[in-house]
Amino acid sequence: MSGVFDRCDADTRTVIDTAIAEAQALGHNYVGTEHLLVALVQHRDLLPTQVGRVLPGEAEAVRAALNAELDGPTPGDEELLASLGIDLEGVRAAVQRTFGPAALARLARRPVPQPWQPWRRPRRQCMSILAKGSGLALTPRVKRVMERALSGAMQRGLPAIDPCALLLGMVDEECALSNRLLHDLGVPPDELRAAILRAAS
Amino acid sequence: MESLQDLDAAANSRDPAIGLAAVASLRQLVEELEELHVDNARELGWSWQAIAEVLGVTRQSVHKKHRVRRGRRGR
Repeated sequence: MSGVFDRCDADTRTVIDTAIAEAQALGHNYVGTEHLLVALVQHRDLLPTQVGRVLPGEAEAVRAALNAELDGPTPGDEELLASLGIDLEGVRAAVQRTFGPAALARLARRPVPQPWQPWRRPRRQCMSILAKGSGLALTPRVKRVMERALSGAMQRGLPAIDPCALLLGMVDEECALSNRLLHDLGVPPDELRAAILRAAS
Repeated sequence: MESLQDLDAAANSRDPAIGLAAVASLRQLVEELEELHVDNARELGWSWQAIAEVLGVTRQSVHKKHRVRRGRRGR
């Protein structure tokens, strides 16, 4: 997709694919640091052992903490619109037929929170409903995390982002939801950062 | 994840949390469809005035809403 993604190693791409699947399974229309965290916990074997040990034990525990933070599971747009009698898949197909996949891809890439739509809450509503599934819908924060991960990896002399660099990028993004979840689960992000830096040196 | 039946039941029980969220989703869907159709009209050479008339809003509001977004691709 965008430049940063071409700079991920195979392990990191596995993690990101899992995060996307996780977001879709939860009915979310964006991929945030919370989904990356669940994915990293599941793929802890891709991290140095001493870092994996510090991570929360179970992906299920992270999901539970996420549910608690989000006030319970959120029904996806598909289900919500179906409750109004609207078939989102049908609308998507019609749009696809009329305008082609390029138009949907453009929706997926557009910069989001728009000043004349104050009801759009960045957390849940910022990503395109129609473009879901046709492209990566990453939160701006994940993009920042990826950029930081890339510069971190390059400082360590790596050609691409490895899962460890990704995790460090997340830990260093102070307000990330993943950090709040780590806190909730009794894993201080600082401890994780120390473990990563120890593993890297 | 709630099933569709659960949501139907919720809709029937008039749970505001579901109803309001559904309206928010619908509103966003409308916005996205509007973007696609406005873009299409502009690419076909429609004026802001003509677009506004068919949408049933003022030229200023269409312009304000879509001009900035389309700014980078011109007009």
